[in-house]
Amino acid sequence: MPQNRLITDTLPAVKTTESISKPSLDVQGGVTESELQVLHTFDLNYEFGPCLGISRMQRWDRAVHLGLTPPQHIHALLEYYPSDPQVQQWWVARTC
Amino acid sequence: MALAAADEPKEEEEVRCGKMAPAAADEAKEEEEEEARCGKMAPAAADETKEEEEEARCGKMAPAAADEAGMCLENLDEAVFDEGKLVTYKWLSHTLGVHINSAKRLLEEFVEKKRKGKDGHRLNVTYMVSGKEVQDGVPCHMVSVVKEDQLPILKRRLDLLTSLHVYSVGLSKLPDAAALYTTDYDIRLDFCTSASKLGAICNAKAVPQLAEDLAERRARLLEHACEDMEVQDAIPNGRSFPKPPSKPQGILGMFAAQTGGRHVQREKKIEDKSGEAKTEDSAVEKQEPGEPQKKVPAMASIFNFAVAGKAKGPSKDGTSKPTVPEPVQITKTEPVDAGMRSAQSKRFNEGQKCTEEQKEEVASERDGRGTKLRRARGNRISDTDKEEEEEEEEAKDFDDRKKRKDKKNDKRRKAAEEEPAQSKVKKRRAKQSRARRELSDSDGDEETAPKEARAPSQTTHRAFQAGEIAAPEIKRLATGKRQRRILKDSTYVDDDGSMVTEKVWEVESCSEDDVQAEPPAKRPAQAQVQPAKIPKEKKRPTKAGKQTSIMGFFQKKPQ
Amino acid sequence: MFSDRAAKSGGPDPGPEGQTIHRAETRSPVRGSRFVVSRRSFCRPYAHLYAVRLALMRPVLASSARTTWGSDLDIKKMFELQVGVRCCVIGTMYKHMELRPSILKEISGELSLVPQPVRMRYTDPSDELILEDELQRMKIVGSLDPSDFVTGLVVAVLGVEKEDGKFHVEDICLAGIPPQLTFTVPEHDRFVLLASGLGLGGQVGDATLGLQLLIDTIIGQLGGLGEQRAASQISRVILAGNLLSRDTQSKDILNKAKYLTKKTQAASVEAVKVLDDALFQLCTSVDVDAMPGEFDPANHTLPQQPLHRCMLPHSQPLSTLHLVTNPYEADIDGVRFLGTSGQNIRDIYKYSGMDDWLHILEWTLRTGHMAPTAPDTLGCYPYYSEDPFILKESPHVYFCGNAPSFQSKILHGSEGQRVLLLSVPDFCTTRTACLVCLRDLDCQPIKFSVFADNGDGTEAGAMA
Repeated sequence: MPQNRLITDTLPAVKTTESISKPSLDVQGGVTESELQVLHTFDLNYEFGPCLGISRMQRWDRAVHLGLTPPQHIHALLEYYPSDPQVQQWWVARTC
Repeated sequence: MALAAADEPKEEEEVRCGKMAPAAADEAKEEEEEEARCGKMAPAAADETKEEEEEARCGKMAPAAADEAGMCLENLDEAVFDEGKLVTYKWLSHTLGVHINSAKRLLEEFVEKKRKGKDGHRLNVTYMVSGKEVQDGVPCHMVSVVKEDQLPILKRRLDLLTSLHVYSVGLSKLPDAAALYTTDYDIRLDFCTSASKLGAICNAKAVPQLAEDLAERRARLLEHACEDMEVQDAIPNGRSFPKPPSKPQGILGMFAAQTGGRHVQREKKIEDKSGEAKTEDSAVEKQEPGEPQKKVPAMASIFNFAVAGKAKGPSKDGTSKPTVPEPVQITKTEPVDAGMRSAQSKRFNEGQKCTEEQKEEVASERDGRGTKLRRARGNRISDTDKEEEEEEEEAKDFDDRKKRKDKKNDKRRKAAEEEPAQSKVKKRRAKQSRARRELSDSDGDEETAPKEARAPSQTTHRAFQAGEIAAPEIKRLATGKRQRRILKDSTYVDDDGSMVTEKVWEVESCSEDDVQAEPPAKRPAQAQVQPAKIPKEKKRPTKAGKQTSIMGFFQKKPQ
Repeated sequence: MFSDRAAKSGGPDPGPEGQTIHRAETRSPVRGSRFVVSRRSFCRPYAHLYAVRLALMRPVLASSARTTWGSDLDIKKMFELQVGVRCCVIGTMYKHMELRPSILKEISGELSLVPQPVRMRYTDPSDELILEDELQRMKIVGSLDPSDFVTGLVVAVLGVEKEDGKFHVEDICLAGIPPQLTFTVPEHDRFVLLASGLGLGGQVGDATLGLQLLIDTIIGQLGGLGEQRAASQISRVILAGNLLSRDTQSKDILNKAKYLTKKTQAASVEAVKVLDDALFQLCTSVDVDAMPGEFDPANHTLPQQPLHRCMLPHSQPLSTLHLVTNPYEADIDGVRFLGTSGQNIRDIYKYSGMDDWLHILEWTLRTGHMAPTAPDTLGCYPYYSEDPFILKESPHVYFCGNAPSFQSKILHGSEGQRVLLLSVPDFCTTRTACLVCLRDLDCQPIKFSVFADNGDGTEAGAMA
């Protein structure tokens, strides 16, 4: 890692960056890459509206509320990893 | 008109005499003015009220009932001609304590009479006229106050006349309407409460809410807040996802954060030393001299303002006295007229009772609110009735609580002794939650403990002085189990949808080591003992620090 | 109406003393909670609001378009369009406006460009309309005047996409007046008085007596027996925002050096005390619903949340004081009231060519949306799963506060809807409030005037 150091690394780390949170997920034996891919496909489906700023579950619920039929397996996935930020809101790591 | 009024005067006079008492002060003032002008009265007579004078005149005149109206008119005469007052119907109604409609009649009668006399031309009369007038095809209800000379013009313009009566009588020509307003305004301020009684329309609903209603509302509000918080916790909301739910929010949070960790620490100290003394365990109505004034939270000061505005009566008797007033005394000094205040305090108490079994957060939040309010009050006006009420409440279940507490404390002390301080994180959490639960079932618990943790000698001293009510403190001191309360910000939404940021006491337990540590060295001591706790606590100040810089940015901007 | 009733129920002379008139009772109103924002998260973009608005209004517009243009109408998404094929598209309008204030342009002022002129309205003949749906946008031209529309409006357009890439519109369709709840006629004549823009704490001082006359009329101090009896039938007072004056929002404190403004008190502090006093007087006699407005000490974005009770120490213990949200919605004796303090209408006024407030109010009802310009030019909470400003059902009384003048109109919809449109004037400048009779939705302005010194018999200010 030392060769990849950036100048910003000297600043106090205030946010959880993706590079930190990702390994920890693997350690936990959490969500797999393919599952994340499925979730991403859901994110990018325009029918269910924008995905930024809200959690995936909120987006899923909204889709139901608007009379759409979001895929059930997404909901299952979201319920399966209830406390995993990577699953619940992918944009956290990117927008913060 | 005169005939119609003829059967009124008697009642009027009665009403007047009945109502005179509150009016006396005001009239005494008038009296002084008059005296100053005429210079014929002896100075000793200055505090003689107008009422007396009237009665004297009344006695002098024929006591026949018919003359009583005449007497009112004479009063009016005096006010208008001698004192040069601008008399509006409302002024008359309030001053004489007569019904608003009678006042209108009186004025009318007065004008009618004076017009016949020689002084008639000196009078400047304004009339209130209302009626329907079609403007741009829309039938509009007009309510106007006009001068006498404009009256016929206006009357002609109206399609339908609904009301016409004298609005004001005075000698001087009115330059603008402001004088009318100020006359009414002044008199209304003096007779704030009686206004509705003299009015023509009464509304049974429009009464200050009873304490129970307020309590109910508060309870509902708490439940609501509780629900909200639950939801908020449940939903991974925004960026705060992995963080604990209660973080400093809103303006208060900024305030708290502005001076960073040091401030918080100091504040904590202050809270624990003085503020807590006034919390649930309110028998000890003690105030450390000079300390708390600098630390009234924003919300609390609003509350305080509200309270102070309503009742200024029974203050002073216990304000920031360094000595401890005896609880019994406090009980006796309940203010009779502190309607709103007692209502508020009741509300808190009842709210506490109602939702006793509810969520810990809510419990602590509620306590925090109560604490704050009380503290704020303690700072400016010593508010005794609440404490008094709480005392009663406490006295009721004091005994069994004491027992319960003893048991708990013993248990906890054992636990604390057995476990090495370093590996206590989980245990402490459990304890903490237990402690919070305790918060909700017994109010006394949670601030006695931290107080001890803070300044044991002081507490003991106080506890002894406070006597019976403070007994649990001593017990707890003996057991050695300590708790620490931390002021945290919590934001919730009340039933009107307003966002409310409150300081909330959260309880942490800590071991005996803390107690032994000197108050100034408290923080480090805790840091040693609670390696796991500290980072969590530290986080808050750090974040606060960040906000401080933002605040600094805003502050610099104007220059 | 009110005047007639007053004339009928008693003479112009003051009533006898012994008689106390009781305030007319109404059932406690059923309030909607859709404008209460309980959880406030501001970390969301506004894209959600537009997406939800389009998604929720699309079915309404589709059915509306089909009834207008025939049931065999071809409704397409934008990406399905083919050049030259006539069809209908539903989308959100965006109006490109040259004159629209823009922070970017303001910043560009530093680059020695021409500063933006200060103006009251931002419309210009060069404005262009653009239609957006979930995926794309395109310019719309043809038989429609951009000044009739505003950004954020969801419409259905019928037309053809031509080679120039623009959509040539033949006709346009709005959502239409939403269906209405059944109107239960109250048995009694009950009045609701609406006033807005009390403007307390303003620099113009002589509004105070006007306000006092209003209060005295409502609480039955003023007037003869008939007037008082009629006033006792006023069962509720709705104060539609701007209780405080614009002057209380002085920005001096931001521009002056800090040491100069250290001791100054915000102007609103004194004004709120006056408000408390006024509300106290009113509340001792009648139920009052106080909405916040543009200049009131509440949040700025719509929906504005109720004023905080702590600000009103005298009046808040009274059970008759109700602090409510800014878009106001309540069933008063079975009559549905819906209205705002006027920000939505004022904003549309600024960004469209429509001049008449009542017309704009009616137009918002026809478009099925109370505040289409939110969140574009009108502050709005970032909703993500709902748009509370969509009118799902017509109210019986639809009002906006702080209008320049009193106007009212009964609007009849095609499905038998009957809506009283009401622009409640700014009390501070017009000294006019309005009375609505709940039984027949009749409406009458009530004006207050105080003599002026010009002696010609006309009342200054009130006659404007």
